[in-house]
Amino acid sequence: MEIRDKLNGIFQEVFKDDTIQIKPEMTANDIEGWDSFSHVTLITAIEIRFNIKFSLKEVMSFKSVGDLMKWIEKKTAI
Amino acid sequence: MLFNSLEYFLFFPVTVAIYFVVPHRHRWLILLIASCLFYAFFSLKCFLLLIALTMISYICALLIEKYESRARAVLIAGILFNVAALFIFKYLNFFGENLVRIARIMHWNYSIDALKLLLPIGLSFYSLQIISYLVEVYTGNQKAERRPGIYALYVIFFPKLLAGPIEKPYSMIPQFYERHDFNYRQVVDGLMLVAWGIFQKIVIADRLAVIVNPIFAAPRSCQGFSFVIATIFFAFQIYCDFSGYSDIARGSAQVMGFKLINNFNRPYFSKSIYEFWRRWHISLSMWLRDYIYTPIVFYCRAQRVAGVLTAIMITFVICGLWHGAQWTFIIWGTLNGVYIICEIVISRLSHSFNKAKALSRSPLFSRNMRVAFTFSLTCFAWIFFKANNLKDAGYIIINIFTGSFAFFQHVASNFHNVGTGKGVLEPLLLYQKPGDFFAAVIFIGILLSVHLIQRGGSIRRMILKRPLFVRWSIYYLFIMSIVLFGFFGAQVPFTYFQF
Repeated sequence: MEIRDKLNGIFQEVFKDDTIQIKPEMTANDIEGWDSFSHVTLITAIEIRFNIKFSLKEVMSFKSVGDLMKWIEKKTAI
Repeated sequence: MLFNSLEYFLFFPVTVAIYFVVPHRHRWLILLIASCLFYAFFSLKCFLLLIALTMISYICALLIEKYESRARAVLIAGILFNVAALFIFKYLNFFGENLVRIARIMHWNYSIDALKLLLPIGLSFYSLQIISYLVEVYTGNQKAERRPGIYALYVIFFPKLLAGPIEKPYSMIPQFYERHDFNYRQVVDGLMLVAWGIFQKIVIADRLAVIVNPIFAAPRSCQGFSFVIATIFFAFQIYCDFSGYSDIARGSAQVMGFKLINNFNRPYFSKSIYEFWRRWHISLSMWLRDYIYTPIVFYCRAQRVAGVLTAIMITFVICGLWHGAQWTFIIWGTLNGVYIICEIVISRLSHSFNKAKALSRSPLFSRNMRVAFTFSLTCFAWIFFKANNLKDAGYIIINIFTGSFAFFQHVASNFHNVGTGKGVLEPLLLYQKPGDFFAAVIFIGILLSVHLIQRGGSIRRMILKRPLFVRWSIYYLFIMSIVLFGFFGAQVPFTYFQF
C-alpha cells in the first residue's frame, strides 16, 4: 500500500472522519480536531503502523502533512 | 519608555517619519537605533543584558547550523543562558525564601539574604522569543540569521519588546527584508488600532483599577459581595490592560508596515477553558504548546492519556510561574491546568455515555450557558492572580458570598435611593463614587458590544468603507471620548510589564 493511502487511513481513524483526504500542503488548520492533544495520538499511531520511531527534533519540524510524508518515506526506506 | 507616556507620543511619530524618509536599505538601522533608544530609556544595565543575550543567541544559532553533531549541546547552552538570566532576576529570591521556609520547618539553621535585583523590563518576553529562535534553527524550520543587525531587530523591535507578542522567527525576520512603502490606509488602520488600545488601557482598564485595586489591596475591610464585583471587574481590567497594550504594539508596527500576531481573540466568549487558552495571550499559549507541552508529551507518549495529562499540568504550572515568582500565580496556573484536565475527562465520559451526550444537547448546556460557566471559572482563577498572597485569596473565596445576604438587605433598606446609588454602593465599593461604578459598567458594556460587532468582521474595515465626513466624525468622537473619559491621574504602568 502506498504511504499516502496508509497515512490517510490513520488520519481517518485518529480524527474519526471517513471523509478526510490528505494532501501534502494540509496543516493542522485544515483538519478539524487536529490539535495539540490529538497530535500525539497521531504521531504514536504512525509510529506503530509504520514501525518507525521519530525523534523530538523531527516531530517539532512537522508543519504539514507533506513534512510527515517526507519523514515516513525517509524512515521506511532504510 | 511606556506606550501610555508623553515620550512615546513624541518618539513614535519622529521614528515613523524618519523610517519612511530614508531609503529601504537603511531602514533596519533606523529601527534598530530607535529600538535601542526606546529600551535604554529604562535602564542602561538592563539594556546591556538585552544586548548580551541577543549576541550570545546570534552566535549559538550560527554554531547550531554549522556543527550538526554538536547542535543539541549548543542549543541547550543557548537556552540555559536565557533560563539562567530569568532565574537570577526573577526567581532567585522566591526559591531562596522557600528554601528558608523549608529549613525552618525541618528545624535547620539556614538563612539566605534576599538579593536586591530589579527584574529587567521585558526579559520574560524577549528571552522566550530568543529560545523560540534557537529551537526553530535547531529543528530546521528557520535558517540562522547571518546579519546581526536584522537578528537584533527580531529581538528588540520596539513595538513588541516590552510585553510581546512573542513572535516566531519565521513570521518576523522576513518582514525586516521586505520593502514597506508608505500606505495611507495602512497607516490610518494602524493608528485606529493604537487609539483602540489606548481606549482599552486608559479609559476601561485604568478606570476599573480605581475600583478593583483598593478591594484586593485590603480585602479584610470589604464586604463579601464586593469581591464578586471586584473579581468580575478585574477580569475586564486585566483583559483591557493587556489587550490594550497588544493593540498599541500591533498598531504601531502596522503603521510602519509590519504585522504582529494578534494576541487576543475575544477570549471571554470562549465555551471552554481549552478554547479560552486558544484565544487569550495567544502568542504565549503557542510558545508553551510548542516548547514545553510538545516535548513533554512526546517523551510521555507511551503513557497515552496519563502522558497528556502530565504534560498539561506541567505546562500550566510553568505558565503560572512565568507570570511571577509567587505562589498565587502558581496556583492560578495549576487551576487552569485542572480545569482543562476536567474538560478532557468530561468530554471522554460524555462520548462513552449516550445519556451524557443527550445532556450536552439540553438547553442547560447551550452556547451561552457554557460561555457564562467558562467566564465564571476564569474569574475564580483570577482571584489567585490578583490577590496579594494565598491568605488573601483564601479569605476572598471564603467570604465571597457570605456577605451577599447582608448586602441585599442593605439594598432593600435603601431601596428609595437605588436610582441615585446613594447609600447603596458606597459600602460595597470602599466608598468610591457610585459614578465610577456606573461608568465602569457602561465601559464594560461598550467593550462587549465591540466584541459582538467584531463577530461580523473588522470594525476598522467597516469604518474605512464609510464616506470621509462619517469617518472623521467617528475619529473625532473617539479621540474626544479618550480625552474626556480617560484616567489621567498618576500614570498606571501596564500590568504585564511586571512579569
